[in-house]
Amino acid sequence: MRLQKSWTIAKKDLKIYRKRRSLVAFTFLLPVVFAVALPLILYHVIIAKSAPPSTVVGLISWFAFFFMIISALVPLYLTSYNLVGEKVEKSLEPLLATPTSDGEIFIGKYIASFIPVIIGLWVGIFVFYSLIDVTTYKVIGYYYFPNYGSAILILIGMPLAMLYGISFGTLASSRASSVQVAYQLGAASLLPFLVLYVLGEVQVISLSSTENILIISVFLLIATVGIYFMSKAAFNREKILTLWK
Amino acid sequence: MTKIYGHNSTNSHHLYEFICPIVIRWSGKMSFAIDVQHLTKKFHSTLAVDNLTFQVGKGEVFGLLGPNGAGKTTTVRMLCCLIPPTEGSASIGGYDISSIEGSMKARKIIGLVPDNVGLYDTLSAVENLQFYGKMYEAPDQLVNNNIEKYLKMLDLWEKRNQSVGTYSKGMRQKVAVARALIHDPEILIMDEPTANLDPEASRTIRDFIIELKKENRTIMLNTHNLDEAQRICTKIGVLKTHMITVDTPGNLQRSFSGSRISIKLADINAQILQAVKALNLGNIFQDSGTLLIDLADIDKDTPVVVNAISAAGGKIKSVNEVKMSLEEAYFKLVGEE
Ligand SMILES: Nc1ncnc2c1ncn2[C@@H]1O[C@H](COP(=O)(O)OP(=O)(O)OP(=O)(O)O)[C@@H](O)[C@H]1O
Ligand SMILES: [Mg+2]
Repeated sequence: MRLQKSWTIAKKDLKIYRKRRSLVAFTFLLPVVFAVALPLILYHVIIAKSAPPSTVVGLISWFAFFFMIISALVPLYLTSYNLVGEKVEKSLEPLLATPTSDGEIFIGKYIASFIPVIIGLWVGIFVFYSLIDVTTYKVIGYYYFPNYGSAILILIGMPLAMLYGISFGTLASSRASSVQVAYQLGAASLLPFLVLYVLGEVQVISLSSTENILIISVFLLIATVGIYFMSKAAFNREKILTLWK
Repeated sequence: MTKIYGHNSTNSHHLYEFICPIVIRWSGKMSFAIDVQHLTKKFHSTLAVDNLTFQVGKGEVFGLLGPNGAGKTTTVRMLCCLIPPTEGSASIGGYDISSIEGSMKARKIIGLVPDNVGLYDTLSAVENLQFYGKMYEAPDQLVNNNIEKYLKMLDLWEKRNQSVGTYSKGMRQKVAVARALIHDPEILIMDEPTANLDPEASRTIRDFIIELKKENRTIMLNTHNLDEAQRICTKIGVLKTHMITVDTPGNLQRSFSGSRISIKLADINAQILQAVKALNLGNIFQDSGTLLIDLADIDKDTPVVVNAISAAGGKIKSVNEVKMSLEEAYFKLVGEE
């Protein structure tokens, strides 16, 4: 594995990414919309009705969990685009004809999706934290963020959720013939989050606690590694070249 | 039997037997740029390429000629290590394409112009070429020199920084050709480089290939354009799932033209015609003062025909072999299948 090769591919993809306004908008818009909408909801639904501080704090940590989910969601589209885009432009044939291994191509694609996504989501969560602090200071009497849990979320939980989304998107792309189909297939990756959500809802687990974010992160890490190898195995050069029309 | 020289150990004998075929095989493969042995590709029940065997020497321009669906693209993809063969083997520049290591090394010395250009439309010509230079692990200096050299040769230098999406089909094809050459490959493989281009663009590409030929590069190109094959190639393989024949364009043409002669006579009368017909050779056509006769063996039959005509009182002005065009030869070959 020569990371230099992967980096070359990533740089090329990032160059293409920057020229695609809709892709750039997508990576930044979704996190920012969440970052603004959640505090607004909090403000209007809870604080305006003078809810007790404990309810407010509970909701804030709940919302943080949403950022885990969109961390997995945003890269899905980008990854599908990066891989299926090559399929559509028919640029995979000359690319696969170069002395490059599947692993090097995969890692390149991972990097190319990871960089814009993490920037977009970190911008989003920064906006989210700031707005939360502004809206809740009066109710709870202190600035809720930053705290230990938020550091875990930003540095461990979200990046791992992104890698999970990327690996899922890659797997979906090697099966799909268009970006849309890949994206829909990839949406299946959100199922585990849905399960966690339901479990949290029926109070089996508490999603808010930092420990839980860590446990979920470990689960995501294992899933990512597993899916990476699965997608590498599913990446069949012959099928891609002769059946992707 | 008396022994003149050598050890008594039987081991050395075995070792010799063991090494010898390897050495012979190795040196044999090294002398060909492309060596294909019994290459076969099946897609489920479809037999796309059947038992292909051919060699391309260094500096040769080999044309793979065949109708749609003949298996040209499939063959190229196998040689470029893009799809694995079902059976058989091939070596490129001495590297066995079926081993992982060999295929990496083979890919490094091949430049491929695929049947779809597959450029990144949002990137410029230069950006596309630089990316591929890196992917082929070529030194930056070489890549930059080649970008300038080939974009100038192909008349794209002025537009080098425009995104490829704005280019015409012919221009894109030119970029694809430049891309294939970016790392100075020993072997250039092109899948129908002039297909779907207008006559002028085809000609530019063709002239460019002829220019490359002078650099003594090994070139293999797929085509269904006979004229192109004849003009560019030093050797032509006619493919229709299996290899029908491999020969030089001249021989290919001759192998058919040789079977027909034209005899110009001062006068043709019934007696002469009767005499020729009596020889029972093949089709006879008359075109005013000229007789066209199909022969099974031109060297053996021509004197017989000439003698018969003379004996019948014919005055022969000239005897010629009829040159059939490569196109006629090709249609005859492919049609007979
Ligand atoms: N993935 C595949 N699955 C099934 N059949 C295939 C596949 N790829 C190619 N074929 C078949 O293999 C045969 C050879 O195809 P190939 O594309 O190599 O022909 P070609 O000589 O390049 O034709 P053309 O001049 O149209 O480019 C065709 O019959 C084609 O239908
Ligand atoms: Mg073809």
